[in-house]
Amino acid sequence: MRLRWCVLATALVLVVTACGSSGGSKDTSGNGLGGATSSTAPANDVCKTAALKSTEVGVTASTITVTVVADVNNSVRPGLFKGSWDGVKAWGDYMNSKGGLACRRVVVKQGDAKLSPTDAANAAAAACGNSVAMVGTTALFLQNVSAMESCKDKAGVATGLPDIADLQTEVAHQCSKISFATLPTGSSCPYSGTGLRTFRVGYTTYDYYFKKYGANALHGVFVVPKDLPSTISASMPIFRAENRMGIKSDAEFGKSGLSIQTDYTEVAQAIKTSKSTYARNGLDYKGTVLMRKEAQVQGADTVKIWDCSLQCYDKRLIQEAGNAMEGQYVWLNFLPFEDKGSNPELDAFLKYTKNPEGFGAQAWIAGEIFARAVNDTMKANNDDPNSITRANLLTAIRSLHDFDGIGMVPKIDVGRKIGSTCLVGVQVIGGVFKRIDPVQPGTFDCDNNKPPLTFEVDAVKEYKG
Amino acid sequence: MSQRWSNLLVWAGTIAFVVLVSKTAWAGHSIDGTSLTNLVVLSLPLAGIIAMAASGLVVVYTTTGIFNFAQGAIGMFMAYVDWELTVHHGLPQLLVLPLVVVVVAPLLGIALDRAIMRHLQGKALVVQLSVTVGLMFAFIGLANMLWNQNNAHSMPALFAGHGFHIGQVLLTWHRFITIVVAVALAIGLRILLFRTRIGIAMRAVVDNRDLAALGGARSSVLSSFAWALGCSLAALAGILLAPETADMSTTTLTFLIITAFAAAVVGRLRSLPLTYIGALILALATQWSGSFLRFSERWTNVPDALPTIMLFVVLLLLPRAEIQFARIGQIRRVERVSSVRDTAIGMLALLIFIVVLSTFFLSNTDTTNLSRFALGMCTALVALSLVPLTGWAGQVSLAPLAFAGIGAVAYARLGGAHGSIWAVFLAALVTVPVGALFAFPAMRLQGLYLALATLAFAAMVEEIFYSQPFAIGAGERAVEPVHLLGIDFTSKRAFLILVTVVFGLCGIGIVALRRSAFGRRLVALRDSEAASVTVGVNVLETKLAVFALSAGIAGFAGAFFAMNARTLNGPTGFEMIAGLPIVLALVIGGVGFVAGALFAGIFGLFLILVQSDWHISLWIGLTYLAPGLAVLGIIQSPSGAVVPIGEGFARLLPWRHDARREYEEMTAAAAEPEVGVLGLERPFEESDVLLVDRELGISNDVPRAVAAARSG
Repeated sequence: MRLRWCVLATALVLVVTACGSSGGSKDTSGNGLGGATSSTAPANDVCKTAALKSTEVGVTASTITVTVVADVNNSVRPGLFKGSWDGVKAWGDYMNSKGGLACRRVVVKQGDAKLSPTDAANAAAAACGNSVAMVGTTALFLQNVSAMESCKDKAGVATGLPDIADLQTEVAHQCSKISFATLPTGSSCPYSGTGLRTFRVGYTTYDYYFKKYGANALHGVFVVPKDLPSTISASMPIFRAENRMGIKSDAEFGKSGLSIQTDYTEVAQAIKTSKSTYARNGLDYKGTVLMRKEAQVQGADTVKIWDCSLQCYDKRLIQEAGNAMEGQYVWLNFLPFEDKGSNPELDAFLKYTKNPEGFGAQAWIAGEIFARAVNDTMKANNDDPNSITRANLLTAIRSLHDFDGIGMVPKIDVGRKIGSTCLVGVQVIGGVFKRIDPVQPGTFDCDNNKPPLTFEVDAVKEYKG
Repeated sequence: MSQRWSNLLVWAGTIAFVVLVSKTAWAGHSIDGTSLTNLVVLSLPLAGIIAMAASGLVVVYTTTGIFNFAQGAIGMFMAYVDWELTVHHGLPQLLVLPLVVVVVAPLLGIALDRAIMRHLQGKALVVQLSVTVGLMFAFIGLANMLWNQNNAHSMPALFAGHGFHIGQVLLTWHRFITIVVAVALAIGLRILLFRTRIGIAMRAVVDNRDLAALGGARSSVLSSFAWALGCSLAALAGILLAPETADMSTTTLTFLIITAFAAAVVGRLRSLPLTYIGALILALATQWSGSFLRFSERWTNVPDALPTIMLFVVLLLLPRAEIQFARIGQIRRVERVSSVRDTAIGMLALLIFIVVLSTFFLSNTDTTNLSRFALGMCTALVALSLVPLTGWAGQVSLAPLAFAGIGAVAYARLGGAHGSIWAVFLAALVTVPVGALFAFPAMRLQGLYLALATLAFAAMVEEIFYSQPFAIGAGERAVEPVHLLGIDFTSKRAFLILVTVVFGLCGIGIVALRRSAFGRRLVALRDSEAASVTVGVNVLETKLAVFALSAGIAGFAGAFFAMNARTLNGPTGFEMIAGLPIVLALVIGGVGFVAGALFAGIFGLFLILVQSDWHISLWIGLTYLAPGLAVLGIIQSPSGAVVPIGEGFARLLPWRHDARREYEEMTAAAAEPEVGVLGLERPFEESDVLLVDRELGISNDVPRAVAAARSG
C-alpha cells in the first residue's frame, strides 16, 4: 500500500527536466526571445470571408474544442493536477481574447483521470468523441492509449486523437505516435518496458555546478522513488548520468511516498559519514522537505548542492521546510514566475492564471503548441480555416521542430519529441526563489549547445535499495 | 498436524526466509558496535510511533471489542484540529494539545459511540469492520473537504528539533517524548485496564455485556468512556506523528495504522507491553533491511512488505486457544433465500435494462459511461465472490481484489493478450488453489484474525507478486477482451453486455449453490462450527471448498477487470486498500445476497457518476462523505439495504403472497410495544416478581415476606 501517484509525477518531471535534446535545439544565444512561435489568430479578413463549417469532431462552425485530461478529483489528493485544468482554461481565455483559433472560439473541456487507469482511458475516449485534440494531458496512469490511437475522425477514419501532454508517465503514452509532450522525456522509443533503454541527459546543470565548485568536488547521496518500476525507471537514468558526468555516489536509498521524516535519518547519517557534498531526492517536493529537515536536525552540513528539478518549484517547499530549505537548487524548463515583466508570454500566463504553478505553466505551453499547429495547418492550406482536421493537425505537430512559446520555454522539437538542454536555475535564498543561472531574466542557460550525454541503462536493474 | 509442530514449521520457515533474504540481499556493510548502536537508535523513534498507533488499537479493541480501522483516521483528523488551532490561529501548543487530547477527542469519541458504535454490539464481525472502514474513509474525506490538500500544512516539532546525541545520531526531544509517552501509555493503560475498577468493568462489558450489567456495570457509560479514551490516544498519536510528515498528508497519517496492525497482533490485541515489543521488532526489522540489505528488481518492495509479512507470520503463530471466540458476537440472521427462478427473472430484467440503457441512453461515441457501467459490473462480480465466503460461511475476507489481481495476471499470461476465451477459465482455475490454501490458516484463525490474515495477504500480493517477472514485472501487459462465437467484445457496449450476462449466470449459479446441501453446510458453519462438526460436517473440506470457490469467482472477475482496463501495470487497480470499499459496499448492500453484490457495483458506479458528472459542490462533498453516510445505513439495516428494498418490491409481485403475508406480520409485530429486557432495560417490579413466582410455582407467602421485610 503506497502512494504511487505521489512520486510518479515528480520522478517523471525529474527526467524531463534533466534529459535534453541531441542537437534539436539551436538556441545559441541563451535568449528565448525571437523564436519561431506564433500563436496569433489569422487575419480577421480571412475570418470575415470564410464560410465556416464543421470540419472535424470537436470543430464546429463557431467553436474549436479541446480537452485537458488530468488527475484532479480523487479522495487521496483532491485537486492534484488542477493546475493543468486551470492552465489550459487560462490559455483558452487568452486565445479567445485575441479572436480565437481558426476563426472559432476555443472551448476547453475538462476530463478527470482521477489517478485511475480506467478513468484516464475513459477521459481519453470521451475526448475522442467531442474534441479535436487533447491538450495539457496530466494523467499519471494513462496506460491504455488504444482509444486515443484508434480514435476515428469525422470521416470515420482511425486517424488518432492528437495529444499534447504535460506528463507522459507510461511507456505506451511516451511512445505513442499521436502523443507529443511539452517536456519530452529524452528516452528512446519504442521500448518494451524492460531491459536496456537509451537516455539523453543534458550537461547544463552539472557544468554549472562543476564550474562553481570544481570538477571533482561533488560526491553524494541519491534517493530513489521506489514505489513503482516506472518511478525507478524515471529517476535511475538521471542518477547514473550524474555518476558518469563525475558526481560520485556515496550512497543510494529507496524511499516511498509514504516515508516519514525518521526514515530519512539514515540518509542524513550517510551524508555525515561520507561528508557528502551533493544530495538529490527523486521523490516529489515532500521528499526533499523531509530530507532537508532531517539533515538539519542531524547536523548534516557538508552538502554544497541540494539538487532538485521542476517538482521542487513549489511554494509549499519553502512553506513546509522553512529555513531548512535555504540554498536549495531547482532547475526549470520554463521561465520562472519571478521573471514577470521580462517575457510577454509569461506575462500573459500570469495575467490569465489565478494560481500559477509548474504544471499550469506547462499546460499553457501545451495550448500554445496546439495553437501553433492550428495556425501552421491553416498556412499550409492557403489560410483556410476549414482545413482543421485531426490528420492535418498531426501533420503540423510532427513538422513542428522549433517551438519556444515566444521565449517562455527554450526551443523544443515537438515533432521529433526532443527536448532542450536549456534550463533556468533558481535557488532558495532568504526564503524565496531567486534566479541564479543565468542571472538575466527572460533567458536560459543552454551550456553553449553542448550535446547531451547519450547512454544506455536498464534502470530497474540498476536500482538496489 | 499438532499446534506444536505447525508452530515449529512456521518458525523454521520464518527463520529460513530471514536468513535466505539477508544472505541474498546483503549490502556488504560491516557489523560493528557503531552500526548496531545506530540501528537501535534509529529504530527507537519509529518503534515509538508504531507503538503509539498500535496502543490505541489495542485499547479500543480490549474495551469495546471492535477493531477500529478508523483509529489512524481519527488521529489524523485530530492532528488537523490541532494544526488549525496552533498554526492557523496561533494558539500555543501547550494549551491546544491538552485541549484536543483531553476535551475535543473524547467528545468525538462519545459522539461516535452514541451515534454509531454502541449500535454495533452483537453485530457480525464483517459489519463491525465495514463500519470502521467506512468511518476511516469518511474522516479522510472530511479532512480533505475542510483542509485543502493543495495548501501547505506543516506542524512544527516540539522543542524545534532540538535533542541529544546517542552515538552519532541525534534523538530529538520530540522523538524522545514520543518514545516516553508510548512507554508510559503501555504501563499506564495496563494499570488502568487490569488494576482499576473502571478498566476491569470495561473489559467485562466486552466479555459479556449482560452479565457485566447485572454486576452493576453501566455498559453505555463504559462504552462511551472507552471510545473517548480510544479517540484521545488516537489524537495523541496523530499529533505526535504529524511533524514527522512533510505536509500532514491525510493518507500518510491515516494508513500508518496498517503498519501498526502487526505490533498490535504481537500483543494479541490486549497486551500493551507486548504490543510495544512488537513495535520494536518491526522497527528493528525495518531499519535492519534499510541499513544492511539491498533489494532490487523483483524484490524491490520487500522492505515495504515487512509489516504485513510480520503480521501474517504472527497470525500463523497464534495459538488456537488465544483466539477470542467469545468476543465475536453473533447476530440472528433470518435471511430469505431467493429461488433460482426468481433470481433468473431478476437477472433477465437486469440484462434487458442494461441492453436498453446501453443502446438508447449511453453514447457509443463517448464510451465513458459504458466503461463505467462495465467497471461497476466487474466490481459486482468481485463482490459476488464474497457472498458465499463471508455472507454464508462467515469467513471474513478483506482480500477480494488480491484474488482478482491474480486472476487478471493469469488471464494476461495465459492467452488474454489475444482474447482467448480459455484464458478466462484458466484465470479462475489458477486462483482456486491460492484461495484453497487459505483454508488451512482458516482452520486455526477465526473472525478478526482471519480477516487480518487476508488483509496481510492482500498487501503482500500487492508488494511482491506483481513485480515478479512471471506476473507483470517492471513493464506492462496488454490484454484484449475475449473473442467468443465470432462476436467482437472490443466494443464497450458489447463488453458491458457480456459482463452483465456473466454476472447474471454467476448469480444464478450462486443462488442454486445456496439452496444445495453445500450451501446449507456453509450456513451451518457460520452459525456454529462446533455444532456443524457434531452433525458430521467436514469443516476442513467445507472451508477448502468455499475458499476455493470464492477465489475462483474473484479470479474470474479479475479477468474481466483486465479486459476492461486493457493494460495491466503493477498492482494498479488491485491495491489492498481499494478492496476495502468493495467489502464496505457489499455490506451496505447485503453480504449474504447476490443482489448485495450488484448493489456494491451500483454503489461504486453511483459515486463515480456523482463525482464526475454532477459538478455541484454539494454532490462532490457527498462523495467524500458517502462512506460515513453508508455507515449510518449499515446501522439501520445490518442485513443489507437489499433486504428492505427486496421486501418492499416483492410485495408488488402478484405471485409473492408470502412476501405480503410476511410484511403484514412484521407490521403487526412492529406495532406492539417494546418489552425490553427484564432487569436490564426495564425495572424488575413487584408484578414481575409475582409473575415469576407463579411460573415457578413458588408460594405467594414468599413475596409477602419479602414485602414485609422491606417495610419493616
